[in-house]
Amino acid sequence: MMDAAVRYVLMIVVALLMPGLINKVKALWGGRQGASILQPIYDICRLFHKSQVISETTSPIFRVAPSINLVASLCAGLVVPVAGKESLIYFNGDFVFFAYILALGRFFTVLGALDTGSSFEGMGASREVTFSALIEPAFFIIMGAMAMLTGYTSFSQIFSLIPGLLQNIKINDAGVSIAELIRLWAHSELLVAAVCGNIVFLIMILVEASRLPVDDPTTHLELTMIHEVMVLDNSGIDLAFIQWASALKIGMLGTLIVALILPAALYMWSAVMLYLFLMLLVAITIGSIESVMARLRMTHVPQFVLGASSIALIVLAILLLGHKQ
Amino acid sequence: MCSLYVGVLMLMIGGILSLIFEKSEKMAGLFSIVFGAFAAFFIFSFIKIPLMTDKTITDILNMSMPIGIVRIEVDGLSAFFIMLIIVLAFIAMLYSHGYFLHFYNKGMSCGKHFFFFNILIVSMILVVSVRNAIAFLILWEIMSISSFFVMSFHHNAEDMREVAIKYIIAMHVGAFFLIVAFLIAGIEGGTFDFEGIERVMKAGGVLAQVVFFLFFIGFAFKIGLIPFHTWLPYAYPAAPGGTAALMAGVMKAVGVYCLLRIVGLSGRPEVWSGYVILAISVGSAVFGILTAISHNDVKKVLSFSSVENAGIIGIAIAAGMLGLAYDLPEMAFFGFAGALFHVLNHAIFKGLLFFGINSVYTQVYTTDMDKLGGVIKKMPMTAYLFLVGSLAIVGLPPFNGFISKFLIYNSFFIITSQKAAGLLMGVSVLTLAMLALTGALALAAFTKTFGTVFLGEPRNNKIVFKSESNAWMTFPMLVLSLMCLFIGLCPHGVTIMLRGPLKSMGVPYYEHNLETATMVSGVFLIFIFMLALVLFIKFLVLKNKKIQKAATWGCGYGAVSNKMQYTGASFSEPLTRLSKPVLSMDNNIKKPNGLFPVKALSYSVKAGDLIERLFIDKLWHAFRWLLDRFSWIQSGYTGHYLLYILLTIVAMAIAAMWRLGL
Repeated sequence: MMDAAVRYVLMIVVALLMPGLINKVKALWGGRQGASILQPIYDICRLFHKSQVISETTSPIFRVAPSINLVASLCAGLVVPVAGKESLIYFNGDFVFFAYILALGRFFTVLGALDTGSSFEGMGASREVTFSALIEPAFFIIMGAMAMLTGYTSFSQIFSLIPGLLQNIKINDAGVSIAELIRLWAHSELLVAAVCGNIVFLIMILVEASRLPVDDPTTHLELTMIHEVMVLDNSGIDLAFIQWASALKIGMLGTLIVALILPAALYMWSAVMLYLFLMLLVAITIGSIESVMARLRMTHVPQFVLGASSIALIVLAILLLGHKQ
Repeated sequence: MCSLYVGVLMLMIGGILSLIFEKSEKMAGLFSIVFGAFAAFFIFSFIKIPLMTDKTITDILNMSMPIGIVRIEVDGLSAFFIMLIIVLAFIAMLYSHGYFLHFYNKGMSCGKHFFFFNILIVSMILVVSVRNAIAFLILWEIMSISSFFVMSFHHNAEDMREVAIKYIIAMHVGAFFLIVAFLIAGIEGGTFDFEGIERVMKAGGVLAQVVFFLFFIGFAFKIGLIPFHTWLPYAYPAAPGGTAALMAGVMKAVGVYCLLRIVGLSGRPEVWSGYVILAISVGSAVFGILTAISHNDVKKVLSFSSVENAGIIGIAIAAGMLGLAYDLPEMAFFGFAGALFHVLNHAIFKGLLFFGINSVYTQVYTTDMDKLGGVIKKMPMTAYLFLVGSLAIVGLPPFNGFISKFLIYNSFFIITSQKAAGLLMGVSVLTLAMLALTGALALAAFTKTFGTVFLGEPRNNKIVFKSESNAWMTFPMLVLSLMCLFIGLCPHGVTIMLRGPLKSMGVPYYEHNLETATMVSGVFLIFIFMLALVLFIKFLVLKNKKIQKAATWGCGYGAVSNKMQYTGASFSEPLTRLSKPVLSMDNNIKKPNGLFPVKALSYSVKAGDLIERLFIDKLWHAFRWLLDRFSWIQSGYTGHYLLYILLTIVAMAIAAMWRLGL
């Protein structure tokens, strides 16, 4: 329990570092030195000290929306297994809870945007619900297929088994070394499934946390953006909550990507080190995608997002082909 | 059994008294409520036993000739639905009384309305208790007709009359399938008692399949599965006050009860029938919610969301049937438990939402969301309660919708730990994905509805609000909201009531499997605790800071008009564009003409129902064409009709003589 709590905190800390890391990667790609990795944390701290400006149009819903969004993200994190061990809380079907609690946060973010009566924010809200609706089936197909593969239905159990399933390695306290793990992965037929799963999770990060080919987190007043425009009217501590929640989403989904590769059988410290290294890799990947790709035209975003579902279907096909009655 | 009859009698007395005191309109409603409370008390004291224990209470009534011996039996399944009917009906009664306070002295017949309202409740209670085909059909007919009268309250308006007639026709088309099914089952099974159905269904073969699907179609009309739902988006918006809740929540539940009863009588279903129902239900869920998103009238959105929820319930029933067919008892358990739970939840939150929008309607006489906006400032209570309903219907934690949806999700992935057929696995994963898609689209539909109606500024300056609605209207909404929250936080309160119904359907009950639901509600408590903590921190941080009020940031543009807000139509535009193939959207564009266009330009979108347009309307035209060929029969002379009667009697006599071999 204590161990899981420490890991949970670790994930929150890593999540806070993710936006800074991504920005650093982008700066390096652009030939700039870039801001400190800790800059987003400084920003959040400063926002805590600021007072607020609130629109006259808004109702109390606007004021509680960021808090609900943050708490929803924190709660979603409770079921995410960090660094190869089971999560703080796990139960059968907790990935359904994960998806729905994130949806709760989204529901209030959208309402907060509509509450201002601004057509910019309405536009962002409209796009947000559209794209998140399109990504949802991909997540459930992936998780459903993996549940069928492993015979378990919670994040922790699925992710502790997926890599282990590869070569029937027994999960025991002795654990396996990293070199052995790489050897196992390289020889596995399930490599395709894991790769596809990771691509889907990556696309989910890009959509949920509104990163580049889908949305541009750096623009504010273009007609092209989604998430940033929804929070135009938020300020002070509310904006801090929103940024924190956004970082948490990247962190959590990144942790899921890592969990898919990282088995439970590793030694404690090598697991944590490997986790940190892989999270860095995730940040570098996202930063590189943002650097080398242009933002998609708004009409092409649905195709990109629905692509995730078709990749997820590949995993399902592998499951069904490999299924022996 | 006696207290059930007393309860029913109380409802009848309440109805008749409100008819007698029709002139003093306020009394009519009060009589109904007082006797409704008595009825609820008696009925509750009665259903407690069959609901909580496995006991079945049976009574045999010997009726006169055409009906014969009627078995009235209340087992767990009946008791569950009686409870649902009486609770929701009583709450709707309270609401209706408040609603009609706005219509007194306007020449409306509130007394008659309450009379038929009570008849409707009585017929629904009896429909779920009788076990005789003929009595069932008579009560089914009373249910349809009384709901027809109940919903045609605003009968002064011609379009409302048209809607009511559309409704009664649809109900009778459904009843036609039921009559055929009951006749086949009765004749083949040798008795019109439900035993006959059981005998036919358990014998199996083609006949059992045909009878099952006739029943399914007949009940699908009431439940509102595609393509039998087309009456529903007209009927629900027309129903006044609490009636919409009664029709959308409770009458749908009666349809679900009947389907579950038939499934319970059928023993082990065929695999393919489970897949057929699953396909229709998934179609209903996705089609329903997509069409809901495309509509801009709140009541239409709620109606199409009813189609979606019918689909979700259907998915759960199909899961149960597949579980039985594949010998996966745990899947069957979760499927049927999820179906029962979701029926109850849907009745609660759909009732709440219809109450909410009807409250808004009594203030502004419109439910077109593109005219509304900012209602939360004028009617805060209604707005927050509507928000609870929206959260619950989308299935978001910590409300009841999540729990029932979670059970339904569980029914599909419980098979992971068991050996299941590859086909079932693939279908299960795809169904999971479709359920998730439905949930996400429901989020779009209800953020659109709540956001446009209650948030922002009014979109039409002509609309003037008087006040918050009266306590008769807000109190029932408050009760329903608390139910949503309570069931979400303590699902155990409902799951203990699922044992009886599942036992009487012959489905095994796995208590330990419901622990996940309790676990989830535990996480909900963590969520609420954390939320309280975060809000407290925020309060502390902001305590000594001055919060500035300003206009919404308009990107440097100051002269923002409230007509520039996003409307419902614009909010849903990306989704409606993507799902164009399954929607029926009429774009009405008046393009500019000439070099100097003088006429006003306009662009409007009218959402419809694709299934109605492609399928039902065409069928209707074909049918009309066919009937026109026979129009010569309707000569208009009384003599001719007498002749028809005579000919019919003669034909029947000859048929009877031939049958008897005379």
